[in-house]
Amino acid sequence: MSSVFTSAPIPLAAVARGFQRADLIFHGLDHSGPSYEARIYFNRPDATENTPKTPDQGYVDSFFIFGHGGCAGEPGHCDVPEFRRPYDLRPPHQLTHAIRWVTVTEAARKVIDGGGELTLTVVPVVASLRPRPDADEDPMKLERVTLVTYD
Amino acid sequence: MASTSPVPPQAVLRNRTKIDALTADQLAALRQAFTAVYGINDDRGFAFWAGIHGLPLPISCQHHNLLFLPWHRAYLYFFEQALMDQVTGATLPWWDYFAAAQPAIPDPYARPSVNGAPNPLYRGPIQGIPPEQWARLGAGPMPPFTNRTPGQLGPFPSQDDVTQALDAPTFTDFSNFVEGVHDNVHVWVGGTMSEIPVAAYDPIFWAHHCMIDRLWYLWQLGHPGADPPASMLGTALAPFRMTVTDTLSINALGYEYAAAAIAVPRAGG
Repeated sequence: MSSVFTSAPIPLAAVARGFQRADLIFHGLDHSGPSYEARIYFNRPDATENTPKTPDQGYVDSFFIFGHGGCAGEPGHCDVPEFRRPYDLRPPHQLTHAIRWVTVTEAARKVIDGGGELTLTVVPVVASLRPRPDADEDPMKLERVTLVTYD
Repeated sequence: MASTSPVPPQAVLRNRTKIDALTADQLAALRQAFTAVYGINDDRGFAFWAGIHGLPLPISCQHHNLLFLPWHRAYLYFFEQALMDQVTGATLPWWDYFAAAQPAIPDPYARPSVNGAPNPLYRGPIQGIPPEQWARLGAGPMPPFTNRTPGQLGPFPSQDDVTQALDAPTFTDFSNFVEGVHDNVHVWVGGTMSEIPVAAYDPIFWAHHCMIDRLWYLWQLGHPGADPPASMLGTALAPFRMTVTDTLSINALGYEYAAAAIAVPRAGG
């Protein structure tokens, strides 16, 4: 099983329920390795890749990442520079970490209706025919998540 | 003796058709064109074009950034030109994800053989990848042909996923959602399609990307003037001699995604 992201409890009581749209924004996603599905659960901190993808289990949605598949170059070939030099006009490194957002409007409203505390769990499920990564290997390497609402 | 002059081709937009609507002649032309490029071992051949997306290095494709849609539109354009160089009239079809009651590889791409011969749309040869590059991926022996495992690695996207993308108000929002659909289909097809280094060696790759390109076109129709951010319009789409701006009009690239294209004869003609 791959590494699971679980948040601390997030108080949503102060969020006005009348928003038109709510997005979970996943920052800093790694896409250098295998393809994977990231399954999103609300208030299901014990979710694993064996947890059913049904609303009663807290499942909200998934997003997919089509992975680079590893590095075919020499050591260092796929290392993303931490910063770019001034006047480095080349395009950003191809494997610069990605941002992906998922709209979770109805699920967020339900959390607020149910008391307003949210624990977010994201379960990455590697989608590859190759040997699976070790349990402590994390294909997402998620940097941070934000929940954004729009009136 | 009267001499015959070559007739210049007419400037008619080619229509990319959905796979299920290909005529027998169109399908035959497509198969003939793929067979032809499989057999060419230079920069007109299939391995060259598939290799631009993946291995051999450099991997030039753009994913998970805003160049995803423009880069792949350019890629389809140049590969389609390479097909037409071999078979006039061969155009890339698009995969209507929801044509079948259940998610399925379209029949013309799912049949291992046609009329007793191998079907060139069933699988593609994986050639031209330096063994040391393949070995570094740790993926075992390099397969000689592509393979698929539909449905084994993940579910198929829903019509709602596509609708959500088409309803997106900005290019950035649309790109995020439609790339999600795209990534999902790569995973659903599975096998070599689920791996960037070799995905484009599978012939279904090109029909899949035509669908994504068509969705962008449909989104453009519904959101006139909603272009990619101005700061990226001049960005080059390496290795192609095109910028983002060059990809914004499919008609300027000589094709369309019409549901029907019927030649209307003049009365009395």
